Amino acid sequence: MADLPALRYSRPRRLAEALTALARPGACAYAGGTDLLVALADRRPWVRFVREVVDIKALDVARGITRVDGALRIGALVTADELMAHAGVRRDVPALAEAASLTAAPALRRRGTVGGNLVTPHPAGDVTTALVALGAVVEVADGRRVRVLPIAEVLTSQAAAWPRQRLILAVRVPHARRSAFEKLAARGAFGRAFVAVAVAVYRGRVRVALGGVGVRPCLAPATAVALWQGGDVAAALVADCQGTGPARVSAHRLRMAAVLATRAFARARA
Amino acid sequence: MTAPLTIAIGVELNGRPTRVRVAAATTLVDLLRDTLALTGSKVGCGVGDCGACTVLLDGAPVLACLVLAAEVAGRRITTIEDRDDDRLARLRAAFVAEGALQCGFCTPGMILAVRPLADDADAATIRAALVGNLCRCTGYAAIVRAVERAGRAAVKPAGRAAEPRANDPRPRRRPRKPSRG
Repeated sequence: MADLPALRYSRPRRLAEALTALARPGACAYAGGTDLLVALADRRPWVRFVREVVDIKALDVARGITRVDGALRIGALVTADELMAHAGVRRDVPALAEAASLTAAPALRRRGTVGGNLVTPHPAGDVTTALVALGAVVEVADGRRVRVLPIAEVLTSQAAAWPRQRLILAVRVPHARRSAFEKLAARGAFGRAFVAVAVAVYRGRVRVALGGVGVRPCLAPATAVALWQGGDVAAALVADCQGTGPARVSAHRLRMAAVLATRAFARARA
Repeated sequence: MTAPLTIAIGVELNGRPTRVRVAAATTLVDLLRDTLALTGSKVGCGVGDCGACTVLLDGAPVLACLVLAAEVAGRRITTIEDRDDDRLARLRAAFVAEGALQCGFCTPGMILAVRPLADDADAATIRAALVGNLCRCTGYAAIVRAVERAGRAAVKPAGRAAEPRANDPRPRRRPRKPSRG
């Protein structure tokens, strides 16, 4: 790996300090570092602006997992390791626990965070794919107020375009005890998803999210209907994958997505 | 206010308080190897894919190539060079006794990755702890056996030494270099 570029480092303890620091030109939030440090060392375009890392790991407001009426509030700093081990996550949103457990390898899961998985420009972040299916909303500190944004709005802004004074504090995930996550990767550990499917079954409807078929994980509404009504899942996937990314989704990827979707639906419903 | 380019940190490194000034853009593994001359931790890939740089941060395995030195202030770091940790010593001896290494490049990371496991961890648990550590020489079977052996050595240490002395790679205790403090 090439060396890191010269960087300034700060570790604010309060949210207001963090937002002030993030407003400085060249400042970038830093949490687990599992993507950011690699991107910095590789001089990737999306981090070319970075001159200062603002270590947000001391911000209590972005930590921990708590219950808030019918949902879990999961701090942006919660790691994949914490997600997969948390009894409430495993019971109330099993798709999220499964996604976390299939992410990377133990030492990386111990560092990689929920917030980082949302903002890093990856087409198939496992945790993000699950959060999309689960209908999560995102708490964002924006200046002096905290706004609650739909997850799709967060995913459509690329990291470099993400307004610097904004910071993701947490995600709120409504309970979906009947949910499951399936992923196909080259190998069990480290494998970035070739394609991934998360399914959440609610009373009277299903929500499905796909990873690996576009720029970022996205909803698959036609696939959800096909699964629910016993329709043609393969045809629905073709419809859902129109225009999700710059390139057409390959036939193999679509076939595998159908297998994973059927499997995840069966497990979620069981 | 501008954030600093260098930062003075104090850590507990292998049980000893250590103070050092680092550039903010230094990774933990570079601090260990280049500044503190602890070259046991290896840099295989530098991007979190191989596990060769695994060290313990407050007792939990992390990849030192993906941790900034600036952020470990006030924390406890354990590397393969720790001579006071009984389980590390048993693991080192067991890796030698089982022939669980050839070139040895991955060995420090392997050993640190399984350091937190219970002595009676079964093979599946050991394998799960090692999925992030690549070895290109041995095929892993001997590595898993070595970890099991180190666990058994802890369970029944009575009588004669659990491992043949000739195979015990534990270095003799030497006076520490004062420059590291």
